[in-house]
Amino acid sequence: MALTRRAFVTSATLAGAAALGGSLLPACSRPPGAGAPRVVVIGGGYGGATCAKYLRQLDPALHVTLVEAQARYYTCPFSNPVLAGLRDLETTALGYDELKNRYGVNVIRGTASAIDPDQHRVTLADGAVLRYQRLVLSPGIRLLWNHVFSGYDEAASRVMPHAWHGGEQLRLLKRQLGAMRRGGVFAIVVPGTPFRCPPGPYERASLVAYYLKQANPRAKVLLLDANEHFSKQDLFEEAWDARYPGLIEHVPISAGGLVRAVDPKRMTLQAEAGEFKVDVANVIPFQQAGGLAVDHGLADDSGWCPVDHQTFASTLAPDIHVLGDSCLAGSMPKSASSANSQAKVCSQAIVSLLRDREPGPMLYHNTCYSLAAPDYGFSINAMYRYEDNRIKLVQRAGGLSPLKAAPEYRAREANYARDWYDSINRDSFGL
Amino acid sequence: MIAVMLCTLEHSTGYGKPCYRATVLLCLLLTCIPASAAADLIDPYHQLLIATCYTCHSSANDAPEAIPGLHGQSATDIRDKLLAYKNDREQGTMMNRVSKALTDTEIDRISAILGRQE
Repeated sequence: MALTRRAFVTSATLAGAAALGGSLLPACSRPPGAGAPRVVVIGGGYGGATCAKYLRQLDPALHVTLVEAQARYYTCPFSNPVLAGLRDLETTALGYDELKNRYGVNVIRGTASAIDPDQHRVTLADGAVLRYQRLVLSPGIRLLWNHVFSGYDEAASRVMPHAWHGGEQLRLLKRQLGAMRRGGVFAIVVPGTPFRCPPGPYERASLVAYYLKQANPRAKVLLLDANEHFSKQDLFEEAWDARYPGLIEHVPISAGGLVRAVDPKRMTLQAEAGEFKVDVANVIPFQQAGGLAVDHGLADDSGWCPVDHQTFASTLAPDIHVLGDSCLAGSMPKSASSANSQAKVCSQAIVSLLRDREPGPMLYHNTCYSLAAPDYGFSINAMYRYEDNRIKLVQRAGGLSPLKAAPEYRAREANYARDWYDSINRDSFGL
Repeated sequence: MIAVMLCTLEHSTGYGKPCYRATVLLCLLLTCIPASAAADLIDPYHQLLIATCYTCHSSANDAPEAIPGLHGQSATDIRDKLLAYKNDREQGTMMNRVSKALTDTEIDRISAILGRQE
């Protein structure tokens, strides 16, 4: 197993050079044998990219194909710093060259249009057919239009952006934030759980407030929330009191925060507490598993995909694994870190299953940082083990950053947040 | 040495088709297993534990303000640090929370593997 890029390059290059008369190609980039088992991974976010990479690392003989629609992946982590002008959007774009060239993943730009579980075949939109022994789906989320938030559909999202995928929607919301009138209201509409990145809306509120405090100090951030409590709540509220007193208003569901309808023409949000006229509306819709998984019957009534917790094999279709935001993984939140961890577990399990071996014990984690300001970070961690046929939280481990920590402590975790981002990108995309 | 590795690797791959097995052997010999680790193959569970570290840690120690890199440290140093975090004798920001999930035996094994990395 390549422990790191450096160890990998050194050992692979030396071995390759010695064995093959000076070839400098890392050996993982060599094509596998014609009879090698085939694994197809669909979706090139954190889950799919990590899974493809680790499959090739764990067994360089495997034929691994990664299917992704976009040439570049705009990450959701660190999209909020982009919104606040703290980071350029292009620094959050990742490509697939390293997976292809360094790890020997067969990367195909395309979309899957049909899955045939009986024949073990995937058909792409361009008609190409991929055969597999094991299929991995990491399709992220599907945004639900007109669900609870009446009037919120794709057309409305071009006026009231969700910006819950990186890229174009984020660019639009950033333009709206920059152009907002003096003293205006920037509203964030939060969907009911579960949704991608539980602390995301509150980190967004924090960093928008950071921007407004300098650029538009009489403006306000309004959070209309379909939930009562939220991730890292005490830490966020402590940060808001310290850095942005009076700037952020949070309306929980008990105070009428649930939005029932939106009107992009009038820029109004109809919540149970009443009608809010706002200047910018960031409406984050309710979510379910990615369209590919739902459309192929891999989701249950909850809208998410039930899986075996040890292997991430779907309980609804044979030889198909679902990981990342789409799957039901016990209490693991829908985050890049969870997807990265699940992909490592899933790749281990697939390598075992392809050799007709029982998968072994598993360990999972979620490690997630949030920024309340460029020098103010905090984190949550949870560790899990596979026990009693499920993903079980390790009670004695994990937890949140402490409350009432010194400014130096928050600054240190803000640095760690940026470092975490670099590391998980390297780990997942093989950079 | 090579003969021992061949046996070990042949044993570790189990697809059974002769030509495929030959490819597996070639690929495994050429790659991904660091030279120092190849003679002492890491079992899947400890591979997973090590992989878990790399979500947040890189290999290199290139910035003093950053999350420490994992390589270039001795096995003893890594083990002592992990145990100190686990028993709260040292106060970090994240590792006290993470290390409490690991048994002392797992900490020994992780440290031994990482301590070999240059």
